[in-house]
Parts: sequence; structure tokens; C-alpha cells
Amino acid sequence: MRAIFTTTKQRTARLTALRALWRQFGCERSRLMAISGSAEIDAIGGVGISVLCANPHSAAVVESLLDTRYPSTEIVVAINGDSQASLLQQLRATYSLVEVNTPAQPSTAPIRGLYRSRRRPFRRLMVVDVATDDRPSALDAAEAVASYDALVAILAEVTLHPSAIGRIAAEIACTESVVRFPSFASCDDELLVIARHQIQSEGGFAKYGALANHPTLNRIAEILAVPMSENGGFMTDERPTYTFLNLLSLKIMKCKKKLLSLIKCKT
Amino acid sequence: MIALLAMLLMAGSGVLLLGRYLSRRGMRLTYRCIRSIAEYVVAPSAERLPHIRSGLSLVAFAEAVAFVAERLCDEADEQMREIVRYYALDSRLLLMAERANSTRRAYLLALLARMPLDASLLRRIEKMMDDTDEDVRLYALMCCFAIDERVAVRHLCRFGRRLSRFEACELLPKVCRYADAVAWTPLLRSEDYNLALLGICIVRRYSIIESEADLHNIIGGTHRSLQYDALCALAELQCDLSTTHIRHWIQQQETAVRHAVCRHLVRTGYSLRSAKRILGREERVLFEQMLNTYKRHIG
Repeated sequence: MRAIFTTTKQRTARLTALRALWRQFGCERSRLMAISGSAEIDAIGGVGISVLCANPHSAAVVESLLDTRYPSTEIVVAINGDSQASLLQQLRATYSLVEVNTPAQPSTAPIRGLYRSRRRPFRRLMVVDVATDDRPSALDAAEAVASYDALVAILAEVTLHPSAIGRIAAEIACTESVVRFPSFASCDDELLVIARHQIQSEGGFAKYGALANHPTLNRIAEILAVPMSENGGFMTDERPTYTFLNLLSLKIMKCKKKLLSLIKCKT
Repeated sequence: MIALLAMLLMAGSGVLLLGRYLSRRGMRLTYRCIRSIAEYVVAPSAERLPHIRSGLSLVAFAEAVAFVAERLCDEADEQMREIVRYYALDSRLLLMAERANSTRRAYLLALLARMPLDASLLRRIEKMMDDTDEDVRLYALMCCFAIDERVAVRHLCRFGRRLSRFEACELLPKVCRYADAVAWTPLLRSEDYNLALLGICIVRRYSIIESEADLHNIIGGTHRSLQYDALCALAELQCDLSTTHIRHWIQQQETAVRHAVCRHLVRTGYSLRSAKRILGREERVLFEQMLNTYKRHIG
């Protein structure tokens, strides 16, 4: 074993892996939130969340976002009406969308149209027609029309569990201020939870850069410890149950990635 | 060395599969128990209740009881108490909690807090109010609320730190007993931060319009972190916000908070005319733009 970790870099990598493992064992508090029922009844501490989704590949993604149980949620979907014209038409037909007035235009992505649903069950949905396929610019356009202070930007092709937004709201409600809370991201950089003022001060998602460049960003999976699905997304069909072995298996799954990277260091 | 690592990975995978199997087994057991409990609530009969053998089954059953009790909101209190008494669930869980470490203890207390408890357990739960772990103290407080409110309010005043909004919302069903809000006035007028926060949560949950004057007093009071919550509560109650001290308070805040207030006013349905009396020039422009996004585009 000693022969593998000879250089300083490899020793540092091993220490980082051990520290990450220790953090995994330490951060079990969020398991308690898994049994909280308050997130499905009312807005926790008045926390409202705007879920921003850019260029979804199908209407099923939008449908899964609308399944969110947390009441104070808004779903803002940014679509390029040129390259995804069929998807836009499908959404307009399914959710009875009507065109409404657009607000001030963001600098990165002009908004061609804004749609809201006439039907009450889908009043949380907003669809933005943007003139870009670039995901960060589309997210900027979605942010310009969102109305809550907490933004959850979906950065990859994942679907959310119905309780995911409630869990995120509970995490935000544990901070000092619901307007100026510290941002955090999912372990695999699929989700970014950020306060609106922070993303505006950074210059938008286009200028925020890769999440890996923000080392102080907390990671959701370490905080929430939700079992990840096979595709690695923030998605699960199972209600988390507290068993020691379940936690241990989750930690070993996380540790596997670190071990594989250590093997690569050696070779 | 690679062989050693491969063996570790295989062992880890085995534990992973075993963990998933036990987790799914625990979940299946919980769902079966929920069904049995629901059948018992409808037609009480000892034959409908499952037989609990191991500690893992006991925790799974306790999860089921907590799940059902929370959703019934004290409606079938008698039946739930009979179930808890039949299995001695409260005392067994409390014994497990006393022997567990901090997070597991908090989890077991969280389950206990959601089911009807016997008053004889109050002393043992009060001892956990001095635990070093914050979550253990919070869920022990919830258990105290489930047993005796007056004792719990005393503990809340001596909690030692400020509750977060999430924790206040967790306490809310226990404080209000899932019924109409009670005694919100002394909470709002209290000098204690935790009691005032609880009062604001009650007002927001139950839309108590009579609390308007007390909320105005909080905005002019000393708890700065509660002032934003009080203003949001007033906005949700559709109260008149064009008073001098509210305008002055909004103008004193930083840009992020002013914009947040502006967005909140749009969501709660204030008109442009009302907003012009409350907001500054910059926020009025933002308000009008946001308001227009709710209007159909013509042309």
C-alpha cells in the first residue's frame, strides 16, 4: 500500500479522499429532513423557489418538474423556439399556454416570447422562448422572468424527485436569511441552488463559470445524502430509510469513485 | 496491491447490495405496516396488527406509525394511542434513543415526536434537552410539545439558540395541535426571538388578519431578522403597507432585500397604485415590469 502513495500529490489525493469520506460519515443531519412533512404542507419559512430549466430534451422533463410537491415553486423553462419548435408547440397545447408581456431583456439572450398557462393546475409554469441554444444564456433569460429569490438551476439532463425541491427549501430555511443564503450545488454538478442577488452580481449564469471553479460551494449530496440513481442524477424513487447499512453503502459508493481515481494516479 | 484494492471494491459492492436489499426490505415492511395501521384505524382489531420481532422491524413500524399519525392530524388519536400502548412503542423507542449516538438519537426522537406519547416519559425526554447535539434538543422539544405544552414553552424560552425557520415550521403542528391557532398574541408580543418567530409562522399558516398591529410593531422592533418575515406576513394578509415606518424600513434595506420585497408584493397581488405608495422609484419600475408579465400580450 505504501508503494502506491509515494509522491506528495498522491498522498494529498489520499488525504482528500479520506477527508471526503469523513465528511460523508459526519453529514447525516439531512436524513432527519427526509421524514419532515412540513415541506409538503406549506412554504417553509416563506421560502419560494424558482426552478430554471433550459432546453429540455422532452416534455417529460417539464412534466416531472411540475410534479414537485413543494407548494411555493415556480417552473421556468427556457426553450429555443427555432430549434425546438415542436416541443414548444407541444407544451403550448398541453398546458394551454398564452403569450404574456415580456420583462426587461437580459443582455445575454433576447427573449422572443413569454408564456403562462391559463389553467390553474399549471399556474406555476412559465415558458420562455429564447433565441439561443446555449444553456447558460438560456438560464439567464429564465432568471430574468423568475419571481422567487431562490433559484434552482438544472444544469444537466436529470429529473427531480417530487420531494427534492422541498428538501432544498428546508436547507435554505435553515440559514440566517432566505434572501441572502449561501449557494450550494449537487455532488455531480447537475443542480445549482443560488440566491438571485448573487447570480446577478456575478453577471449571470454565462459569467458564473463552471461549478468546479467555485471550491467553496457546498455540495448537496453531502448535505442531503439522498441515494443517487444509476444514471447519477438527483433522482430517486425510494423514500430514504435510515439504516446503518444503507448509509454505509452510500458512503462506499462515493468512496468507489475516489478509489478509482487513486488507482489512476498510481498508473 | 491492485488485488487488495479489487478485494476491497468487491467487499464494498457486497455491502452496497446488502444495504440496498435491507433498505428496500425495511421500506416494504414500512409500507405493509402503514396498510395494517390504516386498517386498524378503520376497524380496530388486534388481529390486524403485525407481529414485530427485531429492532429493525420496530423502527420500520415506528416510521409507519409516525407517518400515519402525522397525516391523520390527531383525528384517530384513540386508535393511535392504543397501537402505541399495545407495542409499548414509545418506551422502547425512547430506550433505543437513550442508547444511541447523536444523529440516530435525534432520528428516533423525531419519530417519537410524531406519535401520541405517554406523560410518564416526560422526565426522561427532558433530560435530553441538555444534549450537546442541536437536533437532539430540537426533537426532544418536539416530544415535550407532544406531551405537555406548558413545559415545552418553558423549554423553548431556555433553548439557548435561535430557531431557524425550518425548525419553527417543524414545531408548528405540535404547537397548534393541527387545529386552529391558539394564543398567537402573546407569542407575537414576546421579547423572545423564538416565540416571536413561532408567532409569525402561526400567523402566516392560518392567515390571522387580527395580528396586523402586532406585525407592525415587530417591523418597528428590535429583532431585525424578523422584520422581513413580518413584512412578508403583512403582504400575504393583504394589509395596508403604505405607512411611514414601513416605507422608511424598505428604503433602509439593501438592494437585494428591496427587490425581494418588490417581487413578494407582485406575487401577493398588490396593484400598481398600492405599490407606488410603498416602493421607491427603482422598485416601482421593477414592480410594473413584473406585473406586466401576468398580463396577456396584445399585438
